[in-house]
Formats: sequence, C-alpha cells, structure tokens
Amino acid sequence: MLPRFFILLMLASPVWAAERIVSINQCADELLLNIVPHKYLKSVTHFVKDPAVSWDAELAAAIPGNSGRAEEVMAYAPDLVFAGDFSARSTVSMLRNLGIEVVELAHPRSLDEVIDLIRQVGEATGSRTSADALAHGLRKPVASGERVVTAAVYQPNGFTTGRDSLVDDVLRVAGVRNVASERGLSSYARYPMELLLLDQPELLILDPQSQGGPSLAHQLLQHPALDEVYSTSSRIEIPPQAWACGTHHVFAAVEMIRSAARGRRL
Amino acid sequence: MSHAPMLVCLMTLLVATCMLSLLVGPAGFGWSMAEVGETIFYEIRVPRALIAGTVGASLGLAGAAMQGLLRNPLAEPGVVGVSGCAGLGAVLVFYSGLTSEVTMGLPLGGMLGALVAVWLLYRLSDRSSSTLSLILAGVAINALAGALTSLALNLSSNPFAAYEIVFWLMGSFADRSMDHVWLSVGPVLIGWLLLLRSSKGLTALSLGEETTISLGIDVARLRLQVILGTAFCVGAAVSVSGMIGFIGLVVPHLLRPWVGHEPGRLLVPSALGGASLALLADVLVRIIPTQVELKIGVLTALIGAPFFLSLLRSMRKELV
Repeated sequence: MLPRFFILLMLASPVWAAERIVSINQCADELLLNIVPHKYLKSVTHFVKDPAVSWDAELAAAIPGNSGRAEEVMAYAPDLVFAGDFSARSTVSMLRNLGIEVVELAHPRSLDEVIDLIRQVGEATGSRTSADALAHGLRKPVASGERVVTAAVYQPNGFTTGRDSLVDDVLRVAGVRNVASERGLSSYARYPMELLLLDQPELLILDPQSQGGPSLAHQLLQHPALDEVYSTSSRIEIPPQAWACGTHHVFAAVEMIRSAARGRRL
Repeated sequence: MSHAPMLVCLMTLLVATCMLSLLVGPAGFGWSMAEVGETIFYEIRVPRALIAGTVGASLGLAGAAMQGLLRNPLAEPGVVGVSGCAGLGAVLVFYSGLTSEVTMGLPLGGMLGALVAVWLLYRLSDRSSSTLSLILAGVAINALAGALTSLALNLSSNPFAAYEIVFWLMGSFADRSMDHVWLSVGPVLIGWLLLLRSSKGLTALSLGEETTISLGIDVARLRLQVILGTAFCVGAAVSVSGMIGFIGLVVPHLLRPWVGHEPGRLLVPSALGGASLALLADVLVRIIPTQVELKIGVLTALIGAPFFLSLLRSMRKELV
C-alpha cells in the first residue's frame, strides 16, 4: 500500500517525474519515446528498435532494448515500468511483488481512447505538458459529406477487424464503411474469403507483404480469387507501424485510408 | 457383392460427395453464377474439391498398396510416418523460400521426404516383418519428423510460421487455389499410375515371395514401384494439404472383405473410397460451427484412431 500511496503523492506534485522508466511493451515504448525526455528512459523493447515494425526505431536507437523478462527489467532498477494489457501476467505480477510500480496500458478501442492513453502516459510519468502537446497535434478529420465507400480489412490467415475495435473507429473516421462490422463480426475475427467476395467491399485494406520469410498466412493474400476481383487501385496497404499499436501513429492510417477512399470515389 | 457393383457404388458415392463439396461453403449453400458467384465457384470451391478428392484418393490408394507390400494391415502413410516426413520436406522447401525459385519445389520437397520414410520403413520391415516393429518405427519417425517440422517453423523469420504447425500436422483444404492443384496433379498422377500397375504383383505377393517369383514377377521391381508410387502421390498430396491421418487405414480395411482379400483388387476401390471420405470430411468441417474452421485431420483422427485401436486389439496375438 505504502509505495502506491507515495506514487500518488508524487504524481500530485508537479515537480516529480519518474526518472528510471523501463517499458516492456512496444505500444508503451512508442508513446514514451514521444512524450518523456529520453534520459529518463532506461530501456525499451527490442521491437520498437526494429524499423520493420516501428516508426520510432530511430528515436529508440540509443536506448538499450529488452525482451520483457522480469530479470532484465530489475537490472535497470526502475522506479516505473510500463506494460501492455497483453504483456505476460507472470512478469507483471512478479514485478509488482518485487515492489515496483507497473502501469498497464490498455489497448485503445477508438481514436478518443488513443488521446486518453497519451494523457495517461503524461500523467504517470510527470510529463503532462509534452503529452498535451502531442495530443493537441492530433485532429480527427471532419466528415466531408461525400459518398461513403465500403471497405474491409483483410489480414494474413484471412482475419479481419470488426466492431468495437480501434481499426473499426479508424475506418469510420476515415469516411469508409466497414463491411465486416456490418456483417456482425467483432474485433479480430476470421473472415472467410467466400464472404469477402460476396460482400464486395470497394476498398481492400491489406498488410504490406511480409518482410520475413514466406508463410501460408501471407500466401492466402495472393489467392487468385482476390486478384480476379481486386485490381491494384482498389487495394491499399497500411503498414503495421501505423496501427498495430494504438498510438498517435494511428492518425497516419486515418489519412491513408481517407485519401484511398477519395481515389475510389473518382 | 462382387467387384463391379461395388465399383459402381463407390463411383456414385464419389460423385455425390463431390457435388456436396461444391455446394457447401461460408458464402451459403449452392452458388449463383452471377458475377462474384462465379469467382467463388471456380476459384475457391472447385480447387478445394479437386484437392480433397486427389489427396483422399492418394492416401487411400497408398494405404492399400503399402499394406499389400508390407503385408501388414496397419501400414498407413500417416501411422508409419510417411506423411510426417512428406510434411517435413514440404515445410523445409516452403519456409526457406525455395518455392519462389523452383516452381515444383513444394511437391518435390514432399516427395523427397516421403521417399526417405518409405525407404527407411522398407529396410526395417525387410529384417523383421513384425507388426510391432513397424508401428514402433512409425512412432519414432513421426516424432522425429514432427519435432524437425516444428523446429523449422520456429526458425522462420515470419511470425505467422510457428502457428502453421497446425496446418502441417492436421491438414486442411481451406482456401487452396488452382495453383495448388496444378502443383500437385502431375506427381500425384504418376504415383497413381505406378501403384495401379503394381496390382498384379501385390496380389501375388500375398501368397508369399517365392510364389511371386515363380509367377515370373520381379519382386525387387515391384517394391521399387510401390515405394516410388507412394512417395510421389503421398509426398505431393501432403505438400498441398498437410498431413491427414487414417484415411489410408480405414478405407482399405472397410473394403477388404468385398474384394476377397486380394491386395491387387483393393487398389482402385481404396482410391475411390479415400476420395469420398476426404470430400465428406471436408464438407463436415465447413458445416460444424466452430469459430475457426476445424482442421480436417481432426475429424479423420476422431474416426480413425478408435478404428486403429480396435484393429490393434484384434491383432493382439500377432503382436506378442
């Protein structure tokens, strides 16, 4: 109880800031790197240092990487650890048992929640001003009143994203109708190719081709049936760096989809 | 029932299951030929039915032929590790990226893996023909192939690869395209031809090796024919569908009484029956309402494994 009380006390005073921060979650990394002075970031994940999956790799270049194990984290003697709600339960509870304050960031399900998340990180680290500045620069586009284009996200293994998800909100704000949501699919769900062809969305939103080796999951995206129905002009690739995490980068995905939809209307 | 009416029955069953397979899918029962319905039919359902049919036929046929050659009713591509090694070969070729350089790389990898396994088994059963040693060899080969497959998938730089072990170990015909049909059809047909041509020899072999030789049949050639035939059709089949167990065990066993226990006459019926069983199981995985489509090997194992146990039980005396 006591350490928590202290943290609260310290959060209340504007002078305090966490000075030894370690993050074991890529999404937390992206926010911390853009909000907190880097001298306070003792370690971030290896993922955020990899340009294939992160747009913040350059920012993170000088900060040591970790693989999210409790032992590594302890070695930095952190005063604050950031984890995601998908981080290993055992690691988080181990760190808490060792008396370390762990902030777990929930995966946002809308653009508004992304803004909240940015503010939450600012509060927790005592960097409210820079968090506010980051949040302030992010604007949701205003609905243009043009015809709404239908779209579907089609991911490796034939999965899509439906209702109650950040991706669904991104699509809505970008001015397109998510046919998977209209079909009743929610969050991350399998979308059989037959149904995709039947629904015939005007815009197919795909992952870029895999940077790594081949997989059956990616091979599915080259199925001849898709080639027959979707020309290159009706496809758009959104890099995972933009929306795999729900951080400020997701607003870039909104813009990409908006301009692709504009192209489909012409 | 004599031979001809049974063949007619099996053909009818094959046509029926094939029609059913073309009618069933996530987009609904039946199909429309308007616009996108045509794409769904020709690009998704037709290749799926073709692959299910050829893979099922290959497994049934190879099962019957191996049982004839090894004179052991438990010899089945899956049980004895031939499918496992074929899967390993295909996995090595696919995930190393060789398939983008060698067009036929995928089935070639499967065939090579299958060949190694059949050859190993044959060498082993040459020394001791006991059922027990065959099954134990199968256990060992399967364990090794499974472990190496898993290792190869985990070494891939693609994060999805590790999860694809389910496809390779349990098999699926879902979303396979005409590309997969063209890849596998050549080697599969060659394999069928080799196995079907061994029919006379296999019947003779059931009367003993000496009788076979006295009938003027070249036993060494017969073996090679069955080994190569199995490697060709099972290897190419597994490389496009993953491992699907027990079809080669259940089908020949059910049909054996109808052909007067003549291994040679069992071949064609086993191919037809194997194709029907695979098509039927593939219809079921699409009907059973699971969140993610069930892998077909789950169904064939649910039917086949108890079957295998009861076969073992009836052979208990021979085993000891």
